[in-house]
Amino acid sequence: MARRRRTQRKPRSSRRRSRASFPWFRLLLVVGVIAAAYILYLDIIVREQFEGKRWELPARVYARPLELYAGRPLAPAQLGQELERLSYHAVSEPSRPGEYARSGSRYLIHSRGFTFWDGTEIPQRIGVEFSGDRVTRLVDRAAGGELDLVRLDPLQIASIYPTLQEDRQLVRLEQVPPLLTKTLMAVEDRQFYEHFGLSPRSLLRATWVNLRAGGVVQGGSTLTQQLVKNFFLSNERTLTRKFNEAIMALLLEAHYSKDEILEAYLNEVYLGQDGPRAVHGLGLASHFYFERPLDQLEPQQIAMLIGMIKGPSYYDPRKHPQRTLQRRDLVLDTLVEQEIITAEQGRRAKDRPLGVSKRRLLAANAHPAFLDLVRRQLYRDYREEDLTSEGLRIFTTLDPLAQTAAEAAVAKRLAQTETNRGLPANSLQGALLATAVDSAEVLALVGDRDPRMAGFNRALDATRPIGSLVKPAVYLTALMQPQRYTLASWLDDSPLQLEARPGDLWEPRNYDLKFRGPVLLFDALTHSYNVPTVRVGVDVGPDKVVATMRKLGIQGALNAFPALMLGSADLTPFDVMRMYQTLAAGGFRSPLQSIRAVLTSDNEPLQRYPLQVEQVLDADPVLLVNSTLQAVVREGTAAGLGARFGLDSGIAGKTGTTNDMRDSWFAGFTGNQVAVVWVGRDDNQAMGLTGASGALPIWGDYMAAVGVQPLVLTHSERVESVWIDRISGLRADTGCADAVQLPFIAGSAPEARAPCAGDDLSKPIDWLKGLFQ
Amino acid sequence: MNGLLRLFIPAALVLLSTACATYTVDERRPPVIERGSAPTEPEFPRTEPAPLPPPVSGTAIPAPPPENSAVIALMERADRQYQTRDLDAAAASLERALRIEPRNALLWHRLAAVRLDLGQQDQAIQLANKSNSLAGGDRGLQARNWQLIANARRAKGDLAGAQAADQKAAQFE
Repeated sequence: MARRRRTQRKPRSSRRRSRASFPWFRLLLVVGVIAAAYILYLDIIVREQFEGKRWELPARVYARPLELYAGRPLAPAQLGQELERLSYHAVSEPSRPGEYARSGSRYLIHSRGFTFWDGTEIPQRIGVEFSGDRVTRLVDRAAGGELDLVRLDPLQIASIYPTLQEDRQLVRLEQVPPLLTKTLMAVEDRQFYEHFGLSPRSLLRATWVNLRAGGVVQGGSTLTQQLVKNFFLSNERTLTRKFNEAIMALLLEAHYSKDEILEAYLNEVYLGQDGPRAVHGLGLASHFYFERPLDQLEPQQIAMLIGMIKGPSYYDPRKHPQRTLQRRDLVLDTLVEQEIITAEQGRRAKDRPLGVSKRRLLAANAHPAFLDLVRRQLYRDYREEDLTSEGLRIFTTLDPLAQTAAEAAVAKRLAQTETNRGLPANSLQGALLATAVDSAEVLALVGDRDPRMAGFNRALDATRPIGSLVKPAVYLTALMQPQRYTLASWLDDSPLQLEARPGDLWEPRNYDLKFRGPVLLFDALTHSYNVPTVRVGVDVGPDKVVATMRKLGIQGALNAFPALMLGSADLTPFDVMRMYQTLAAGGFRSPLQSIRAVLTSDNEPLQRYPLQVEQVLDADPVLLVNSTLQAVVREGTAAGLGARFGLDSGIAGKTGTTNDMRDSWFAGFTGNQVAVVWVGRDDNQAMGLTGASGALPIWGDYMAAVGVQPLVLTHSERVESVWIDRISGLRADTGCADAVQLPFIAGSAPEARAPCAGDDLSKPIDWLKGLFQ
Repeated sequence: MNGLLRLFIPAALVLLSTACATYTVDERRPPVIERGSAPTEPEFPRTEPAPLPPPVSGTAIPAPPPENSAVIALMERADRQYQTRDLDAAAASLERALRIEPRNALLWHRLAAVRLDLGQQDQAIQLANKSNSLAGGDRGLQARNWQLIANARRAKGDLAGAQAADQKAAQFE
């Protein structure tokens, strides 16, 4: 940028004369030096501000883009929801980016195009066809034929601001339609290209008009003065400020070209308020009011925006449409008067409605709990000032469809549960987390039943005893020793006394207070029996169980005491999610990700967060546990879920309930998603809900809304499947009425055949003896 | 000038932080438990009688993933990017495909190959393990995964480990 430096020489030239004996010369000298210093000071401010602050941009945070392809599970209504959220306009025939039409199960979309971290999507005219809740065809409407894959533009979910919540979308002068700059000058500063920063003529005219009207009707400020006012000064109306404004306007004109000043003005001018976010510049205003880029604005839309400059809150088109319409038409009249548009064009433009789009919920940062997670990850990697001023583009993993479903599931079910059970209204709280099974990307996060509350984030910060959610880790530890434990091992469910922690005598009981004698390990986990679980945990060693939990990804505090086996550990839903994520991924642990990539404002890649996996556990025992977690849903403590989604869904999960029913948990996974739900009270009082009655229905509602992909577990060649008689725990055949097919690590399945299986030589009494010796 | 600096500093910081945050792998643990040799055993006992309860879905052989043209297109794109040595882009394309088909063992194998070329041997090994865990009965793919693990271990200087992986690969060929 060329800078013309103008040094103030006047004070120096008066130095020689000051030797004369007139004392007022000295005074003049002092005044002159002070004035020069002051002007120099203003000059520095003007240049620093103009070149520095002008480009300060908040970071933009985006949700995941929606991928469209043939075969994608997606309900037509979900696509509609996504387009609505992206503010696509419903029209009869899409002809411009950002428009769509729906006819039955067919969508026609003119996509907007977008630059991602791994390439640019161009705007395209596409047709999307559905059959049921699945995309069946993706058509290229311009070239004909089918498309493999189209990515829509991502929803912007937040901006990260400096203390001043200014937001803008920078535009270059050459991107601005000539009609817009002409309109601006016609309305605000007709002599812009002629004056030197101040315009005495328009000042006189304004004064004359105002005197005659008896009030301020017209401002005499030039665009340069307005820019200075917007840019550098507070809103006070004093003579000093007017004086400073004039000096700075002159300095600005001295340093920069008219086009540079105009461009700065177009990006700086204040055009309204979006909650706490101030809308600056015509680039952002164009999106904020019309959902389209500046170069696609129509004359009446340009007239409205320019008309608003006079008073953006007074002429807020959403709050005061009538007033704004009058102002717009006045601007259009001026354009006709000045022969910028023809009378006919003016008439046609005035016939059009304001056409302002519905307001998007962006300002409030619609999903504060998820954003909280993103921020924590960002603040580890970036400095605050880079996040708030460099215009970084942050691509997150949030799935808005999943997030909406999660928020609705928590809010609706909690209210319903309170009503059904006669609990005080708003006494329950909840948290929900959902991730993609193999990539560990966080898709949805709810930290409060009111999803707009940005306070305590229960999903990340509430530490609560996890109850029976710990049991899969206990049994996993046991099943890692196939020579000692299999799913068909007999466990002892009889009264037990031991120290829960040193010095604390404890008699663990089952939920129904019954003791069943010998039970199969498979049944103990399926029905969440407490006493045999404690015995197994003590037998394999509490420290070994802690080690397994660490491998599964648990980071919170764990004590290697017997009480751990029943979930005495206080953990956050996020920590629980790590554990179930690793189980769902077959023993492969991945860090839970909320960010995919960060780009600079020029779309240069700054950082990618690649897919990372680490095998922390042998896949075979994990498979044994997972297939039992499927039985939990099929026939165990979460059988309600099995009934709801059908046995083919193969859903795996575990309920958790803590003492006196203070906490209700459910953690589980389908073929593509893992979700953890916690329900409880902030004051930690009993609420009378089990995992199955509190958290489970929320989990079910969420999965029903996002769609369940069946879970089909794969296993290695080292795992075999054997039919087991549930009465004897031995190999079954057709003669056995109560048999179940269980997976075994090779060589660990029982050899003997059950009594019901016919030609069997072993006596039941032998295996019972063997167990309890 | 000021503006340039302000862009450079965060970029440098980010580079530094990524360098520090390289992925750590638990070296104490062999990547795959090689317990016994299973091939002699029949894959699934087919002795089960007819009128029994529905089988545990965990014991079914998964059907091969349906041909998904989006995944194929992304795989082809990744191949082109790989040919032109644009490895970061190839990895991004494969990750995008994996979001569509997370249980596609071939995609995990390809990603492992790209990461190996990027010099990320530990991640390459882990990704090949993941591919193996999803490979089902695809012995050819398992052999290629073991070859890749062998190459990665060799690149790390773990010659004994590489040899063991080569032997595993031979078992599957």
